[in-house]
Amino acid sequence: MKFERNFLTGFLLLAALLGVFIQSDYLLHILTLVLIYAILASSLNLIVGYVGEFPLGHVAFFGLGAYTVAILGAPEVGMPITLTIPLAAFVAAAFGWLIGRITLRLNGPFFVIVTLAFAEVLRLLATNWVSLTNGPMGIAGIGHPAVLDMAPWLQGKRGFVAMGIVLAALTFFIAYRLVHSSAGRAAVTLRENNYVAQSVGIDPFRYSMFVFIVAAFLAGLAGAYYATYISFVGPEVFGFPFTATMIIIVLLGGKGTLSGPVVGAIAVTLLEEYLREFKELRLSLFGIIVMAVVLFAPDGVMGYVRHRFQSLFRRTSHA
Amino acid sequence: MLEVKGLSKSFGGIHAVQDIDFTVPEGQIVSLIGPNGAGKTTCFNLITGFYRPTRGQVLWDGAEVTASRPCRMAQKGVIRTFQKTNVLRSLTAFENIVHAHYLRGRTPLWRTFWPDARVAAAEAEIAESSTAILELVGLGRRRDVEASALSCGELRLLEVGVALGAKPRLLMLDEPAAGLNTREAEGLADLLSGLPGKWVESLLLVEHNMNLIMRVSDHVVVMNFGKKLAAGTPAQIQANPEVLEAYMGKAA
Repeated sequence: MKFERNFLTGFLLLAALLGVFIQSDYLLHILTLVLIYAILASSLNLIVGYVGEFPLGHVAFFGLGAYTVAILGAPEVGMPITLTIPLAAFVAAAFGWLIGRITLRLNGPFFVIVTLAFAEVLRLLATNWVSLTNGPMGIAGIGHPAVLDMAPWLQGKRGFVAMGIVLAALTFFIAYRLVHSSAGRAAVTLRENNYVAQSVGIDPFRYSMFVFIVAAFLAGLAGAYYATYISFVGPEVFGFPFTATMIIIVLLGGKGTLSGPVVGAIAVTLLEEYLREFKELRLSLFGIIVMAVVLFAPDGVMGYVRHRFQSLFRRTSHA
Repeated sequence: MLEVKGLSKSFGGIHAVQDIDFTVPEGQIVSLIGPNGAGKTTCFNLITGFYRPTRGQVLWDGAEVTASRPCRMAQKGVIRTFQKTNVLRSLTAFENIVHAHYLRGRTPLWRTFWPDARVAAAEAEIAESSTAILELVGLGRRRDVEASALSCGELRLLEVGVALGAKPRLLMLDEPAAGLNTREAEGLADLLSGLPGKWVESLLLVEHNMNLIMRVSDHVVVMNFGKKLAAGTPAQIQANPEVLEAYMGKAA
C-alpha cells in the first residue's frame, strides 16, 4: 500500500526533475508520451485490473476527450482550452455512463465485443459527420491552454510536460483513492467472485458502473491532453493502434496494480522508440516481446514483483 | 424470522421444489436434509433471490421478500454460502473477510475520493472485526495466506468467516462440512452451535453429515424429490420410518 504510493510519487518527482533538466525537445516529447500513456493505461487498468472485465473499446473515451477539446476549442465555439480539458473528461464520463448502462449488463466475450462496437461506431461518426468533425481531414490547429502562457519556462514542450505531470498526479490520486476505498474493494470482490460479492450485499451493476465511469473520465482526460499536445485530432484517435498500445501497457506492466500501468507506459514508449530503427519489423518484435511477457509473467512486471514481495502490496495493514 | 410458504420451482417439466413450508425462528438452528437432488440447494437459491420461485412466498420479519435481488437479501441480513466452494481466490484469508464487510464499510460513492474520519474509523473497526472472525473460525495463523493456497477444510471455514463478515442475522450454510474429515467436522459443529445469539440470530443449514446435523440442529426439515417429507426435532427425525426409507431404501 505504502509502496505503491511511494512509487507513484517517485515517478511524478522523477518526471518533474527530468522535465526541468532535459533540454532536448525529442526527449521532452518522449516524456510527454510516457505521461499520456500512463494516464490512459491507469484508466484502462481500473476496469481490467479491478473489475476484471476487458473492454476492447476503451479508446472510445480517449477519442471523445480529444474531439471534445478540438470541437469546443475551435474558433466557431471558442471556449478556452484550459476549460475544455476538464470538460472533455466529463463528456467522456457521461458517455461512460451511457455505454456502461448497455454494456455492463453483459459480461465476458459479449462485453468485449459490444464495447469494441461502440468505439467503431464513434470512429465512423468521426469520419463521416463532416460538419462537426471535419471528417477524415480531422481538426487541426488546436490551441494550447492559456495557463501555459503564464511563465516563460512553460513555453513549448516543457509546458506540456508540466501539464502532463499535473494530470497524471490527478489520475493517480483518483485511482489510488478508488482502489483503497470501499467501492474499490467491492469492485475487487466482483472481479474475484460475482456470487460471493452478491451474497455479501454488493450490487454488481452499481460498482462496475462506478468504476467504468471513473475510467471513462480519466481516458477522456488523456485524450484531451493528447489533443492539445499534438494540436490535431482525426478519426484515428478511435483507432485500434491506441487500443492495442494501452492493452499492451497494462498487461506488460501488471494489471491490478497501480504501479503496473506506469511501468508499462515507460517500457512501451521506450521500446517503441528504440525499435523504430527496425522499421516494419518493430511491430513483429513488439508482438514477440508481448507474447513472452504473457507466457512467462502473466501478471506483468509489477504482478511478478508483487508476487515476490507480498508485504509491499498489502492493501490492509496488520492490526 | 424467516418463513417459507408453499415455495415451488419448476425447470421446464422438472419440479425441483414443490410446496415447501418451514420457518426459521429466532435463536434456532434449522437444518434442511435429504438425498442428493432433493431440492435443498434450490431452496437456498429461491430464498436468497438467485432463482425466482414459480410459486410461493418468502417472508422475512413478516414482510414479503419473494424474488428480491441477491444483494438486497444480503442487505436485509440474509447471508448464504455456496455448495461449491466460493471465496476470493487471489486474496488472503484476512482480506477475504475484510471484503465481506462491505455493508459495514459502505460509503456514499463520492466519499471514495474524499474519505473522512468516519471512513477511517469504520476501516479500523472492520480490521478488528475481521481479526476476531478469523480467530473464531480458527484461521488466525493462516491470516496472510492466499485463499488459493488453503486446504479444502480451511476453505470451508473461510467461507463461514466470509459469511460472518457480512454480519448476518440469518446465516445460511450450504454443506459447510462437505470435504471435512471427522475431526474437522466436529470442530465445525462446535463452531456452529456457538453462533446463534452471539454472531448471528439464526442458522439455516443444508448438510449431509448426519452426526453434525443431529448434534447442532433444533429443528430438521427432510426433503425428498422436491417435497417436504418430514419435519421435527432431531430425535423425531431419526425415529421416522419414512426418512429412513428415503435414505436407506425400502426394507425387503
